[in-house]
Amino acid sequence: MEPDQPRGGGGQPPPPPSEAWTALSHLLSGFLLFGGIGWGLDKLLDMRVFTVVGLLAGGVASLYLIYLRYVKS
Amino acid sequence: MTTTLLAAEELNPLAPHPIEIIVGLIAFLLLFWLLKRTVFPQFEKVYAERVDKIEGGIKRAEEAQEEAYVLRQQYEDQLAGLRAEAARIRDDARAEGQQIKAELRAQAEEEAERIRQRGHEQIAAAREQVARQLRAEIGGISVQLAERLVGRELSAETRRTETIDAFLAELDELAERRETAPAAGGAS
Amino acid sequence: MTTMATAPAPGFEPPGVADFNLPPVFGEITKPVLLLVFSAIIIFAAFRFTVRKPALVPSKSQFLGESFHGIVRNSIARDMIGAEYLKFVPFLTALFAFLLVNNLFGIIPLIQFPTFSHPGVPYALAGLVWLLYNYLGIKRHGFAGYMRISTWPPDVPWWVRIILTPIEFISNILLRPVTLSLRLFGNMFAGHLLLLLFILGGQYMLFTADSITLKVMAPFAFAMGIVFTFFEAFVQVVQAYIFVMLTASYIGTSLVDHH
Repeated sequence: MEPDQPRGGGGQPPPPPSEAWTALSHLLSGFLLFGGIGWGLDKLLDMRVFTVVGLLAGGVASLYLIYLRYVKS
Repeated sequence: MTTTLLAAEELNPLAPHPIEIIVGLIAFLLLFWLLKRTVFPQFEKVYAERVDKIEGGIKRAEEAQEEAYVLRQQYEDQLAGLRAEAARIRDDARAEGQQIKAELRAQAEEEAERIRQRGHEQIAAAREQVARQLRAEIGGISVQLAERLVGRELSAETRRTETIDAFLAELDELAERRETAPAAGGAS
Repeated sequence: MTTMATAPAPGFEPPGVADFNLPPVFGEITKPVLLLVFSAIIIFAAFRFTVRKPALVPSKSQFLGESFHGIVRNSIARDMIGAEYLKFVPFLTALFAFLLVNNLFGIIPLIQFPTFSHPGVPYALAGLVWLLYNYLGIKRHGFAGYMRISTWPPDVPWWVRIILTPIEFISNILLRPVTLSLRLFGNMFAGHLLLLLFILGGQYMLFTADSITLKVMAPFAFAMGIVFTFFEAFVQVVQAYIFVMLTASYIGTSLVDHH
């Protein structure tokens, strides 16, 4: 009913403030997931490197995901 | 609630209090439901009315403008018609005026001609009357003069001259009398 | 507060988690429970008051109510959700009012306890939001379609997707309610703790401590308490706003046409 066209809907990504929170959430997810996997591997194999490697990999993957979702498109 | 849970709560600030969850959810959902049913429709109604009013106002203004434009067009058309009419009337009046002037002049000239004509006629008549009168009088006077000349001796040159002078004087006197007589007596 | 009552020791005991465990007023009913009920009542009463005589040209109170509703409607819901935003305005407005009032309880004199420094209701509200946006997404796109929208990064080779999809799933489906509730709870908890520290610290310096220096310094602690009260007011408003804005944004992304 309103004449002004809202942003957000219709295929565009949500506007900046929530984008920032989502990006942070993605980053956290990456650290948690791959850090967790690394930590599990370390526990299993009785080593110490995988946690650090997992955290780094998770961070990189998250950044790439954020790039894909919010910078590229 | 068990005592173990209570103990855990005291240690961990992240542990929820079940009663708060229950009361909080009920309070919030009830609040949401009540507001949705009673208050928010009023807001939306007022918004809708306001939007309608503004859009209606714009529409009405546009209509009024359109109407005013049409009226102005009509008025201008009328005005142009009136101007043409006025010009035509003025031209007519000028033509008519000229005609009237020409007619009047012709009439006046005619009148003047007639007056002049009458004057000529009167003068002619007067002259004829005078001539007729003179002819009659000259006849009489000539007879008188002849009688006088004949009545006296026509010997002496001087006497003859005297007589003629006296006669002429008498004539003058007569003429004078004739001139004053109509003014005094009115009879001719 | 309980610290001072139970431990009149010469040393200062900084406020801690124990300060958030309030004794029940009666039975199971604690202060936050009363505050929750109280907040719902005053919000409803206030809104009812603003629309008692609705008019095209609003009265002052109607204008306030409309402005509040209008902020959620026009600068949160419309921007975040898109074409179908009107359906969600009542929920978002009620949510914003509920969060705002309960947060502001943290600085309102005599009440001075932010309800959501207890995490129960934030968890519950975040759970509600989680149910709502997942329900909307599945209803709109079907389960597979919804998963594709929320966890399937476009235009990448399959082996990259294997890495990225779990991250996005965790972020969008699992972590959202957690961050939503913990952000609110954490801010309220920390803010209240901060105010307690300054006020109780000031109180200790003034009344309990033996040192003259500490007594002289006490007003500064109270002054800092006042400064941080203003700061907390700001944080409380912002946190309520962020919670509602993110909720609207989640709803919006669930309803997005196709990605």
